[in-house]
Amino acid sequence: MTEEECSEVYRQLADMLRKAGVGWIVEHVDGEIHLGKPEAKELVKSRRRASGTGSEYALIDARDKTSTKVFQQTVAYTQQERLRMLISGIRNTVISAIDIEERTLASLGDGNQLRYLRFAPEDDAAGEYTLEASDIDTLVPSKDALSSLLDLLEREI
Amino acid sequence: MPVNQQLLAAIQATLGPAITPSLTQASAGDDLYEAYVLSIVVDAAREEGATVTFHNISGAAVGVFTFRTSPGYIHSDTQDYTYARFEFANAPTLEAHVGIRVSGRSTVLHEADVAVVKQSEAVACRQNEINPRSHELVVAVECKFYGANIPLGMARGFLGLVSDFSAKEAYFVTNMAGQNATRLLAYRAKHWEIGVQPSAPTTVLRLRNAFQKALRNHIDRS
Repeated sequence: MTEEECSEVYRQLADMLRKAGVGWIVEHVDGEIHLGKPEAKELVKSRRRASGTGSEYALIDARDKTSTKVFQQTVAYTQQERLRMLISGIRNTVISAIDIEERTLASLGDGNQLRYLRFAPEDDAAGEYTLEASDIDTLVPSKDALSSLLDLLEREI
Repeated sequence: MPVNQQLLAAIQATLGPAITPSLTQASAGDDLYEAYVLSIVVDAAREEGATVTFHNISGAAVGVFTFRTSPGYIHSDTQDYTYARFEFANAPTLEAHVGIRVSGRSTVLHEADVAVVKQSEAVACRQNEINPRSHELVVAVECKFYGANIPLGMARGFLGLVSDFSAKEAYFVTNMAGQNATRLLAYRAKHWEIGVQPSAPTTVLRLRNAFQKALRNHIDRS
């Protein structure tokens, strides 16, 4: 995919996530993109000040090497990297959540008669929801299909 | 290669049915993740030989376990919240709670996403409507369920939290990575585990072992 195509696919995926009620995934990924990609940059400390800059650091030059120092910089993510980050975000939330639910119910329900988990705020019944094993049985086929489709999309990047 | 609209349409059709309701709540998966980390603590307690039972404020928890969706008080009875009880042969009994407020050194209240507290302290708190003191916590966990690499600010927030905590073992646990965040935590010699989710069994096992070690220390100190 070209940069433009990756950007377009990112936009479409982001719209899908927002419409599905999980726009926070896009916000998290956008936040990381905004910060930029951290990269190490190695500079050599020269005996002489770098010509014209007044700085005692310069890019590595073997002829005048005394000691090297590693500095951190950030660079912009490419469109391909951005799209991969969003796909990774979907895997680590949407797909992972179903595995987490399955594992949590199995572990907490081990040896007792647990029927379902209930999540409830202290003072607002409207924010209450439940989680039971039959919900997961319904979600698993879609999770598996989504995982395969994301594999295909990643191969096209 | 042009954008594959057929593939995107298939993703759109599959995405909705694959999203569990716990991700569309205000907490964006955090409630579920806290319950998951509690389950790892429970597994650790079982491995250390504890008899694990579940209880509500009103008595034994049967059939339904209720967890908080926002920080609350250990003594609250507005909902019949569930906690796990760990009974050991030769050590004081512990309780594991989700999302309770805990008093720090400064007496300021902080949230512990998962807290393992001595039962004696928990009972006193319920009877007197007070909050557990952080030095009575055997394990405290800050949980973060996130869609991208963990931002540095979250690690800074955890450092601020633990600076006022005297819990013996405080952990920062996330489903994602975060190079700068973990570098900061490692540099400050804090307990952390990243990428904790069922698809990473080695990571989960490492965290469970860390919790076991904390519980073992509780047993050995008794």
